[in-house]
Parts: sequence; C-alpha cells; structure tokens
Amino acid sequence: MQQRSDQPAKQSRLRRLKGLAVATTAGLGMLIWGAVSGTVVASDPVATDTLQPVTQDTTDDSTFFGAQGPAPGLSQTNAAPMTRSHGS
Amino acid sequence: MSLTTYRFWSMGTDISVLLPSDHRREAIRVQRLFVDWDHRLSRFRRDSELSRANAAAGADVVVSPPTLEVIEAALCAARATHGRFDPLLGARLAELGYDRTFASLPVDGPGRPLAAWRPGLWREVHVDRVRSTVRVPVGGALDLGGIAKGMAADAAVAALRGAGVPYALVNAGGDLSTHGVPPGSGGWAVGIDNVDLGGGAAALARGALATSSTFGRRWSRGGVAHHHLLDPLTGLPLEGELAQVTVTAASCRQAEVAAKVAMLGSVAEATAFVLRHGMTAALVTRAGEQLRIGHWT
Repeated sequence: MQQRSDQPAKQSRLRRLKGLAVATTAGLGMLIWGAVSGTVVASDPVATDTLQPVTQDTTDDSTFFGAQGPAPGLSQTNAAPMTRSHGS
Repeated sequence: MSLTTYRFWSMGTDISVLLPSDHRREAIRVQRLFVDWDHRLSRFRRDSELSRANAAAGADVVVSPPTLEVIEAALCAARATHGRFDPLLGARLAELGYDRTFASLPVDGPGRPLAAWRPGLWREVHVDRVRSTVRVPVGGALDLGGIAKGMAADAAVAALRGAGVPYALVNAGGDLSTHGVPPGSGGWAVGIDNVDLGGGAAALARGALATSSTFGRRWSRGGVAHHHLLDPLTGLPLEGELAQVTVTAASCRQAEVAAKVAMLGSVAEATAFVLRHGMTAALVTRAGEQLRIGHWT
C-alpha cells in the first residue's frame, strides 16, 4: 500500500523534471537564436500594452441629466419678461 | 439695485447678459469669453480648432483643453441618449445648404444630391485626453453649436459667480443660465416665443432653460424647405409631432440636450422624458397646441 501511495508523487516529480528540461532547452534555444540573429531576447519578457479607456452607452440617461442636481420648476408671473427664450 | 441688459453678437446668435448695473466690466469679460469660445468652436471659422479637426477628418488633431471638454461633453450626451443627441451632424447640415453662418445664408438656392446617411457615425469620434487630440471620422463633421452655446452660458455664469456678482442671467440665443435672482423677485421673468404666458412671463428661480424650435433657422434648397434640427436616424430635418420644446435643467448644457432629445419624440414620449428627469417643460405641437409639463405653479 505504501509503495502504491508513493507512486503518484514520484510520477509528479518526474513530470516536473521533464518540464524543467524542456523549458531550459527552449530558453537556451531562444538565447542561441538571439545571439545568432543579433536580437536581444529578454530572459523574462513582459509586454506592456496600454489600452484606451472603454466607454459604453449608459442604460440610464439620468447619468447625464441628473448629474448636476434637480431641475428647477417654473412659475407663471405677471411681470414683464426681462429676457426671452427663442428656439436655437 | 437696478438691472442692466448688456447685448452683443457671438457664436452666430444674440447674447444678453443681465447684471446689476454697476458690473459693466464683468459683462465685457463675458463677451470676451464668448468671443474666445466662438474662435475655438465655430463650424464656420476656417481657423477654429473645430474646423481644423473637421477638415482633417481621419487624422488626430491637437485641440485646446476647453475645446476637448466641449467635445467630450457632447459625446457624453450622445452616449447617454443612445445617439438621440448627435454632435456629428455638421457635414449633413452643410450638404443641406447650411454651410455658413445663418445670417449670411441665402434663403433659397439649388439643391444637391445627398450622400448615403450613416447613423451613429459619432461613435467613431476618437478623443485622446492624454495627447489632447480629437479624430473626426471621414465623412462626418462635428457641429457643437447648441451645446457649445449652452456650455458657454454656464461658464459665463460660473465666472460671474466667481467674480462676486450677486445675481446674473446669461441668455445665449434662447439658452439661459442663471445665478441667483434679482432682489425682491421670485425669479427671472422669461418670455418664451410661441408660448402664451397670459401677457406675463415664466419665473425661473435657479438653474437653466433652453428652447429648441423648428420655427426659426429655415431655408430652402432646390425648392425643398429645411430647418436646422436634424433627425439623427435619417439625417433629414425633423418632421415629428413637436415644433418647439422649452425645458428646464440644473445646467444649460443639460437643458440644451434635453430640449433636442424631447423634440425627436411624440408628445407622449416627450412628456414621459421630461417627467422622468423631474424637468419642467413647455411643448408646442406642429398643430399649434401648447402643453405645460412638470412643475408649473
């Protein structure tokens, strides 16, 4: 029973060693290719890509119309107009 | 304290600044603000930042922060209204003949074929805040006339408030923005064209008010009558149930956009829109019927 329970752990270690060997071989290959081709290959390359802000239509237009507080009401007055609103 | 109305012409329309009578210097500052905005944002000045961006459609154009702010506000309004407010109607207006200031526009002239309409092209306007650039899509042209006037009125009122003026009203071609009210009054007495106010006026105690109308700014090309309010879906002059909408909002920028959006719908849709946002409005139908919506007292 003990032998059988150790078996998966051994297989896992073996898989990790194989993975390390493959990665090392690939890394060496990239370095050699870089040296031959004259390019510099970073050992741990991290690409940076700045994304533009994404905007979406809002589902509620109160985000625009309610953003600056409540709208005023109007009251009718007998006073003469001080100014006029005509269509623009 | 008496009130003085200072008048001047800018941004293609008549501007009135109502101030206490000892604030002429502040009125001149407001005039300079409008002149500055006009030089940046006019669709009819070849050297304006807006015209440069329109002329270079497809390419990034560097603009000043104030211009970028107006463009971003217009795009924000377009997104919030799903394109019912469309800031990219400039090319279409020019195709229809409105290609110079309205004051210099011939009333009639030959028509020309219209290009295929692409609704929603405004979504392709690209703004880069970091580089302060705008890119107008090929085939389109920004027209910020209405919202720019409203924002200029708001900016002017903010400047007057900042300068310590106790109360003021700025009227940019029918788009009104206010700060305080004259002493002893219940609000600014505002007349509204084509709306019967019983020989009096509507008192506006705070905020802003704007009117959109198909009664004015009309011309003909090839025998076909046009006006300046286009339906963003068709690219053609609006032919809805409403002929005029006056609406209140906290700011003139909002009132200007709200009036245009309400114009697009039926009376029922405009009413629902106004009530949903707690606004107050006066509607005039094409048949001449007048309706008051919201908080009228």
